[in-house]
Amino acid sequence: MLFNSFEFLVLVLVTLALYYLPLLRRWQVPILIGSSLFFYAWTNPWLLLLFLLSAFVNVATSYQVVHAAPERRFFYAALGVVSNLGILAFFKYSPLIGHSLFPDTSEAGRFLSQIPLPIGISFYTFEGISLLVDAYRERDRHAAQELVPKSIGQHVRNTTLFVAFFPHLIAGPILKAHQFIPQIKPKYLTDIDWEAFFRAVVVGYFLKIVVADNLKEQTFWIAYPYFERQSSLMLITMLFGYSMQIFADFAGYSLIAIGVAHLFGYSLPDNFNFPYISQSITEFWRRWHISLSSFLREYLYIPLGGNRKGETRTYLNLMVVMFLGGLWHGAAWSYAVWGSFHGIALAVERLSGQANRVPRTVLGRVAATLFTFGLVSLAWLLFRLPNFEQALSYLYHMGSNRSFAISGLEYLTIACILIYSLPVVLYHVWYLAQESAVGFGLQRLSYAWYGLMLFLTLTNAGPAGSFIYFQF
Amino acid sequence: MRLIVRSLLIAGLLLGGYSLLLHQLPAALVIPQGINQDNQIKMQQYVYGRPEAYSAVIVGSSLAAKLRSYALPAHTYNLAFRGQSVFEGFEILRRTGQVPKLILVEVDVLDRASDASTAATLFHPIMHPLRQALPALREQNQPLNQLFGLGFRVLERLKPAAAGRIREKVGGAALPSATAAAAEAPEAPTTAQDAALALKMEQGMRQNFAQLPDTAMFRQNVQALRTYIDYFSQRGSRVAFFEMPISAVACQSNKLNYMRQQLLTMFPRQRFTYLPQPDCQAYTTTDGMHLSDASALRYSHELNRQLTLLHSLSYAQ
Repeated sequence: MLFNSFEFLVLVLVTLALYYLPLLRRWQVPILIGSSLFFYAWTNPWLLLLFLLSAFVNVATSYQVVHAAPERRFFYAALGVVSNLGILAFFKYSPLIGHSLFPDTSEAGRFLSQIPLPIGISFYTFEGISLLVDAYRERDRHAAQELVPKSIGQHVRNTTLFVAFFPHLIAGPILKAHQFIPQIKPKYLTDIDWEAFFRAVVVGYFLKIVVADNLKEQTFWIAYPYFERQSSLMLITMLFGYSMQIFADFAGYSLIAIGVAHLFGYSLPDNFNFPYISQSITEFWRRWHISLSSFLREYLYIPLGGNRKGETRTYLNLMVVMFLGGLWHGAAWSYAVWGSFHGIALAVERLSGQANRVPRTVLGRVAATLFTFGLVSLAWLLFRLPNFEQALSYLYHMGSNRSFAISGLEYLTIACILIYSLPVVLYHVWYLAQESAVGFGLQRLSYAWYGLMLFLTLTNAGPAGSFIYFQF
Repeated sequence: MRLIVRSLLIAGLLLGGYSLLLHQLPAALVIPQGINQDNQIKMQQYVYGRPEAYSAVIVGSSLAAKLRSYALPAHTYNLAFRGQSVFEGFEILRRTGQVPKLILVEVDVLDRASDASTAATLFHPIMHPLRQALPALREQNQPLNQLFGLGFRVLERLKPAAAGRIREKVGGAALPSATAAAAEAPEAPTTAQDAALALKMEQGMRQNFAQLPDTAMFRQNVQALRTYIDYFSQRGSRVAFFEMPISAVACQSNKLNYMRQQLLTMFPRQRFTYLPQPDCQAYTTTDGMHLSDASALRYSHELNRQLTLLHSLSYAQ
């Protein structure tokens, strides 16, 4: 069920009406769980079985981590984490293993290639791992009782809501157990932060419907083999457009999720913090998909030793984390290459001391921002063209199709890309200018901007499409 | 709360002002921003226009979408869409309650499945009634399209030749002299990149047409076609099948021969009309499938001739 569909609107309104009925207040959590499961089962009800199995594994093992005999706790934590990773590996990576290790004609190869990818699996398995690790870390403290209460019924309700809560179920933000579970308590209509809801939802839908969906029409021609006939100028512009599209699509989704969660009294963490103003790849990862990068840092990089075990180990840890972070996105080697590319960039920045250095001059800062944006955009190509050969061919044609003679309709494509990218550029510029007098003036007129965004969402929507991150 | 009220007020004022402005603006050439928008505009122009004014409707894929409307008989509407099948056109007819006298069905890609999301988007329970009431919400009236329309009008004054090429490219009515010239003109030369891409696409297409279609899917499609045809025939529509010219090799391919044969079994010539097969060698495609602009115009004229003949024959009967 898409956030921009009629069914979603009906689901939210019906759930909201039942959720805040005083008579049903004690059933708030089951109501949310019921709606979330309905939301998940909408396109393929069979996938619900796997989701429930995953939830059951997390409920059972996390309960044992806190309430079993102390000597058994590590076993249950490890069992839970391995089960989550096993589910993820089997359903997400079987086709990749099938293609990589078996001939296409073999029975095993064919079987592995046909295993379907359940939507949202990368997100809910990571959340399960977060619950297990948080519970294990806090096992002897009071906080563990808050995460995993003694009452099994309450634990089932809390855990199921934590992984299933529909605004974040399919594409995040990835929640950590210690962020979400303590928020589960009775909610009141008067507590809703309507302005926070409105701001997040208006910007989110605008980014998705006006910016990302319209850019998708233009970046369609990045597809193989169509890109081969485009001029260098077109290829560069389309890559720029795709960079803007992927931000608008994912940040839009995250903002809608955050806004809808506000309606039910829950606060989800920010997932983006104006990533394209980053002056280094290190800074980029503090601003892009924050819930994933902080998850990887907290549950992978630091447990691996982080930067506490010497220089060589730090670089190795960085590479391992980024390689796996890349593979998390998709079951293709190109995603691993994408992650490794970022890993190498992080390592180089660390080695050269550029990771946290801010250029002194304005020109230097602008150059660093543009350079970082260029590197990030180049790497996005692997998202649009997961076939590695095709991505390389795109880069080759970007350099070799040097004709700048473009026809009338190609001007149109370029104009569309630049026009629809403008809101993303202004969004970032506004962030940079908000401390200045101009920024202050713009903020005072914020209602006019929200009004304009609403107007454009109604009148200038692109063709409705699913979110890019749904495939992960 | 004040922010929400003020923002909604501003949005309402902008929408009202824009609706008034649209009334004042002269009609401009609609230049679609992309494939999906092109489809949506064609669908919405039919649904929110005067669908009852069209006595003949074409349903088909991107192949028939290339037909030039201005070269077809008057009162003919082209409900063939890029990247879609014949079923989307049929579904739009059914949902609007229209029963045209003649429905022309393109047969070249009958193995393509229907896309339910197309009709769902068009007849969205909230947006459809809103679009009906407020033209400002229709695809062709997007602020950016209006801006492009204004830009095109300026271009027409400054560089009429360039504007004419764009008009021809987007399928808008060309000037009579230009139409005739384009119909006779040789195919435009392509760049080296265009030629390489066309070759690659054509090779892929030949491989595809050398194989039989997925029989289960094709059978399902033919059943769906039967349902639609029965529905419209019972209400008085006449159904005619036609082929768009494609590359000469594909024209005689296993796939197309199989589909022709299956179609004849299901819809025999005695009861259904089949327009003569085009001479594929007489037309040029850009990728083995889609006609070049000049060939599209030429075949539109040919189709016009066939339909006029069909019309006079039906009167003779």
